[in-house]
Amino acid sequence: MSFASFVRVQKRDKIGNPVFDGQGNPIEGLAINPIKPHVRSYWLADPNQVSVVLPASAGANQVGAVRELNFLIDSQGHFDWASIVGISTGAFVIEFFDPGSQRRLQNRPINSDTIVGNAQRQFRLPEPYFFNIGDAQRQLKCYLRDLSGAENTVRLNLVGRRIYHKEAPPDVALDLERMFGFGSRTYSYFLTPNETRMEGTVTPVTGNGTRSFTFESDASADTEIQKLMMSATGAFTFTLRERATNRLLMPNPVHSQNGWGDAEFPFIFPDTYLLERQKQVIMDVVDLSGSTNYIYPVMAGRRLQLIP
Amino acid sequence: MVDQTRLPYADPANWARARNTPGARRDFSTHDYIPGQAIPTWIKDPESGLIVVNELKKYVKPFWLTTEDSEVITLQAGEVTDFIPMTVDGKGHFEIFDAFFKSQRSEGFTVELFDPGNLGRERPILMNREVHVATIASGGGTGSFGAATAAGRPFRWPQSFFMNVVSGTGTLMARFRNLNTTQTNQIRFVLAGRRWYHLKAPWPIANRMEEIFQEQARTFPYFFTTDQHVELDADGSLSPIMRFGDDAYVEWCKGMAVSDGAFQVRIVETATQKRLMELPVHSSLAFGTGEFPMLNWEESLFEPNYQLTFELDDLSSDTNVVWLTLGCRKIKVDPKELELIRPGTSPGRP
Repeated sequence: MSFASFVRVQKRDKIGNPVFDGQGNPIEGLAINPIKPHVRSYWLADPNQVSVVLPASAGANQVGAVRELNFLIDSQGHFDWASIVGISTGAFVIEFFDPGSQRRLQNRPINSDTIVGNAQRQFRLPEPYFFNIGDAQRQLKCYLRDLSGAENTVRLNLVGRRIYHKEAPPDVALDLERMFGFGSRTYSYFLTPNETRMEGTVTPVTGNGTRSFTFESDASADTEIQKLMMSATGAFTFTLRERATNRLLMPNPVHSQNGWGDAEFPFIFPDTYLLERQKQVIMDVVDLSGSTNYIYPVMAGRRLQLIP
Repeated sequence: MVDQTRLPYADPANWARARNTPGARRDFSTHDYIPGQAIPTWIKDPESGLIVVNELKKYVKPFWLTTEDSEVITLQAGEVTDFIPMTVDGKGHFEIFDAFFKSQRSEGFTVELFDPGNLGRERPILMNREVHVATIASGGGTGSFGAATAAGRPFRWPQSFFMNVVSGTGTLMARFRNLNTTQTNQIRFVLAGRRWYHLKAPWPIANRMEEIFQEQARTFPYFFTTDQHVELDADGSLSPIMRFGDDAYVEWCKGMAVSDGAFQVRIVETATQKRLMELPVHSSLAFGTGEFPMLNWEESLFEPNYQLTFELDDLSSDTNVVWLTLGCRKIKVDPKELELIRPGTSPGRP
């Protein structure tokens, strides 16, 4: 949630005493929020390279050699990461790692079509990811591999807001620190099926064939899923089934276009779906395209960590 | 019989109807108006606690404001029009939310909107200079989304603009420039919003409407573009500036651009040299269009007289005309209220 530009404050007299009306009610006025001028939109980039060239993979839906982007957040102020935008000459897979908190933000590499938007239609993270810079720099490492079979030039930016608390007046800086100085118990996370290989490729579904994908929330945190995205080379139908209860989320198969979006227009659950730790949800797929179908489904949500 | 000494929500006739409303006692607001949102149809009567039809809603209707005489304007090649009135009749206030356009030529046209009482000073009221229509309105299509469906992607202005027909500002003057320099261009420009028919309403409702409008008097939408026309040479660079003026705080909400080709941009606050991106960002990652604007998750608030520098580099290897527009809202400040916040009392928690 962004900061309000206006705030309502109690009026004070010349020596700073609060002013009340005849009935003893505080007299209020509107004022510019003193915090707001110290918060700015920000596009985070790797400071050493505007774009990165990924070596071509051996073919489409195979991965090439890994390249790294190092998003550095300098010590001027905190960064609250809200969305992903990027432009590339082909598809790629992507992994995020936050060395400061030792967090991977996904269980397997993610297909770029499912989480990389653009300025017109940004991919909003399920929850802003906060980088508390403290007294040092922070960074986010990003590992990319081509998936298109051709040399792939990628420009990737992380969009959010900078909070320039260090340059703010002391009372404002103190307020900002109080607000953001605490560690968060939740963070954005991308869940791919366990069947996805560790480098990000998938085994295709044969024409008119069937396959099951298993999404699992591991033992370290519950996962609250908000959005469904996919990239596929053909249409398919799917059902979602909870393994523990055998409960189906739909009585009959649903067409892929009616249940899975992409980075620019994700499918958003009417209410978030809580996948508890070590619980699985099974996606049973039937291909409709009649051809070999490479399906990359991704669930986006946030991880809820237990702090005893 | 409605008791005219109070808002008519307490009309017992409405209570009887409300009892039949499913879910009447759950999840309804007592607020008859919430800024920036549609006026609720059903509200909870603060006196009876029952759900009644919001009387305000009965006197607020959708409205499209067109150019006077004809909605179609034919522009000659490169023509700049005279001032064309867009007049709202005196039946009620008009609150503008969206803008739509249609252009026969793909180059489009530019728009300036003036207050008729201010024509002599030649200063538009909603923008600092002419802006490309596709950066403040929907209608041209974008990417794979065609113009035919553009009405489904309205450009919602950063803040609604209130035209008070009572105090004489029921007219806007529009000036257009055809950006096609070789052919005529048939254009349409429409402002969409809602009419507040306060003159038709019972006086408690009319008073309530006036009260709502007065609350908004300090903020209004504003579109800032670069101080100079920007035309990049092939692979060339320019650093145009955008100055926000000294009359108000400016809150930047949305970023839009129309250009002949791709470019990259780095935005720098001129005075502080604070950069909004460490390295230049591709145009498609920093700006949207009227139909899909780049929405700032955190609106940036700038103090009066701020200036931004846009370091632009062409990526198209061709001459590249770039129209940048920042969708903002201006916030007029009462100088006395600036003194309200004293050290140690920062109240700005979200």
